[in-house]
Amino acid sequence: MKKADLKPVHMPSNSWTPIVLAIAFGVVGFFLVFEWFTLAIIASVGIVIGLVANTFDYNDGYHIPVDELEKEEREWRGDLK
Amino acid sequence: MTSHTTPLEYKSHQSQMNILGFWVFLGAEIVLFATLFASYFVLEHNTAGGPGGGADIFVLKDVLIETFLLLTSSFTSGLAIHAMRNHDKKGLLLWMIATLLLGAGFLFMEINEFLHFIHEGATIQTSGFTAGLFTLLGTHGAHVTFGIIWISLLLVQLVRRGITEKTSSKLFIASLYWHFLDVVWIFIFTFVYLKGMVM
Repeated sequence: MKKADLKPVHMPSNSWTPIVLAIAFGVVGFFLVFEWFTLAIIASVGIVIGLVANTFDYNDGYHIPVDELEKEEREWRGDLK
Repeated sequence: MTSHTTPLEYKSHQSQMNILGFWVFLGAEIVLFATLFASYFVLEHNTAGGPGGGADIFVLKDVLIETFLLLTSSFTSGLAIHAMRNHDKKGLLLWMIATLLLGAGFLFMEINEFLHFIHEGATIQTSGFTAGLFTLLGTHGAHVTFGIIWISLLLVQLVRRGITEKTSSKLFIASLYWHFLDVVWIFIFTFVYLKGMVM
């Protein structure tokens, strides 16, 4: 691969909403399986908070610049310097 | 590729990917509803001593009102996207609010319909027929409820930020969802209500 082929890599920014949603959906699903509806409703608040926070999050992530990619690649392959 | 004629919601690569991703999600939704329809068709003759089928409990007049409310709301959401393409923020906002009100009207009718079914002795636990019916209609109604909340939150963002590449793609995706719910209702209207009344 030539250096000219390197392009900036798009990365998502850190966010707390996906992990909160993943856990909340799992917990609500567990409660629903056993028909513990009160607990399921309480845990659903986590889903609502996660979804609402997510829709108001306008951070589209960032790009890793080519220079940093090159440096990283050379370090990993051991031919730095 | 974008040109000066590309609609605003397709301008950025991110938006294009979001819209494509949403079409894939709608594919998964089709699978969900296809499963529920199949279950209903299998179970609809198992009436277990409860109401003997659609003709016993359906009220065709109320179903027609529901249908017109939802179809009109799909039309107004189309008008909203048309206003969005003309950069008419006020038109977009007003047509979307009209969409939400029609959607809420539909939900009101459907909840009353469910109460009517229960009053007629058809609960979700009565028979295979009523279980399939409530699950299919309830899943569709839950989607409409979710859509109303979702579009309301998007309208808050529209008022705050105006019509941008980001807000336009969000509202466009929400309108795809709304039209999808309409398509599902057409199938419910035909294969649950009309078929239930006629056959």
